[in-house]
Amino acid sequence: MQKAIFTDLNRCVGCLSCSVACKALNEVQIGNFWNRVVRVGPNPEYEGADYPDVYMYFLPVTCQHCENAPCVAVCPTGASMKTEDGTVQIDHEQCIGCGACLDACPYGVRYINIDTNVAEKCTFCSQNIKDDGVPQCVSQCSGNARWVGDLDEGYDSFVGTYDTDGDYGGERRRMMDFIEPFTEEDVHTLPDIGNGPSFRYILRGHKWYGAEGGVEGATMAM
Amino acid sequence: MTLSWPLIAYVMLGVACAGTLGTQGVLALRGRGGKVHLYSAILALVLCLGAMAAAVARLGRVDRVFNVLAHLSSGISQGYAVLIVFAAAAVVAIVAIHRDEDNSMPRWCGVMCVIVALLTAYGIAANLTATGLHAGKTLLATAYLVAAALAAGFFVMSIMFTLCHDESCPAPLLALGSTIASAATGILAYIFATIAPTLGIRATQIVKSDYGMVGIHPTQGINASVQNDQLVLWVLALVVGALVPLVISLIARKIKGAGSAGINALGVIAVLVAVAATVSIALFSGQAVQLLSR
Repeated sequence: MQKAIFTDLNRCVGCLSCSVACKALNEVQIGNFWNRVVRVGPNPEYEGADYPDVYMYFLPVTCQHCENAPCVAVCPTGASMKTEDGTVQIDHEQCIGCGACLDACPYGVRYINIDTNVAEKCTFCSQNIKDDGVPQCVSQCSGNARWVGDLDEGYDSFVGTYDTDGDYGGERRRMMDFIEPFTEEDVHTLPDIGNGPSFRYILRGHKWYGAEGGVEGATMAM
Repeated sequence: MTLSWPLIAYVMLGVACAGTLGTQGVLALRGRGGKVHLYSAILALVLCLGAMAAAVARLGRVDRVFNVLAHLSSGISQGYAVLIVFAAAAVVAIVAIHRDEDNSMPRWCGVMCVIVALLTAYGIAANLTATGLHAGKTLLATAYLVAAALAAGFFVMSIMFTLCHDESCPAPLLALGSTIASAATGILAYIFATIAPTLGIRATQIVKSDYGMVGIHPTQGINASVQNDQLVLWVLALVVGALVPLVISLIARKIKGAGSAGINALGVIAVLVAVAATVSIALFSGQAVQLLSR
């Protein structure tokens, strides 16, 4: 089993609801984020292009719950671990706060809690998952851009927010029934340096820049 | 860009204790050393204890320090474990020297010291080459620390011979060894600085968690404190690269029986090597600055 989150970047509007919802539910310390939204671009649509032939997208970045997580390999106590559902979790009772996992993570999603002196990061909302729920960033996505499922079971297993319109019988919306069609060429991951990030990003019709040149925060007022 | 002073102290004291014991071992195998061995072994143990203290200070949860040995496949754990092995070996060496008729280090002990010293340098490097995705994941880091241990070891032993007023000091050997080790350190640092960026990996292991190779690290673009950190690197380069071999040569000149012409030549070589080491470290930090400015 490999739990993962799909993010449809053609739907993401950069509202930061996922970021705020995560922070609220998990009581993340001020100054730290378990889910941060990065604005990538404006980038040229083609080589040498200039305004108005530019585009940008918003990229929610969180722990990618990698298949070969370097933070797990480097942890001297075994506090960072890969669980059965494929997520990477931290045992806060074992963590010694050495910070090695902070160095190892290529996406910089970990930090040391200044009160407890242990490492923290996205937990995939394990408290929701165990009650058959979904991560808060998925349930609160106002653009229905975030979907959660099991990569091993395929795209059909990915679900999102509850259907309140009655179109899906009151159940959670299914990704493959809801979002616009996409091809495998539209599916991307953050840069893979052998760690195997699990999360997937869908970007149709534009060049994928990953997080290159990304700016934290999604507002144009920055 | 933040400097982790406990990590810096851990690496510096670790390579110093490894180099000291290792150099002692080499001298013992050559039948040299005499009464210096006892004091040097004690000093090596003290340096090791200092490295242990720095290693503990590095942790956020010092009360859980013994958890660090739970996952020995991790380079971090290996870096701690080797210090324990080193301390035990140093105690064995001290006892063996004390029991020796001439208070010198037996040959078997010399072999043990060389092996333990190499193991310790490797273990400290394992902190840097731990399974991770930054610049430390290269054999160059291990070679760099082994060379640094040699340079530190020759330096410390030279001082010990001088302090002990031991005329049997192999001054040319120590001066030459220090010069070669410093040269190796400088060359490896240069290679590290020039190759590492081309592989898309970051430089300088004394800085914690400040790389952005995938473009989204939260510290990307934050380079306001880089100037101060460069100053630290320059000072370290000057002290390690420039002064160490030069001081050794000057100390060697004061030892009776040492050939002055040879020592003068070594002194010149040492300064040239030190300049090369300083330049390479400057490139090292310069590359780091460029990458941090990306």
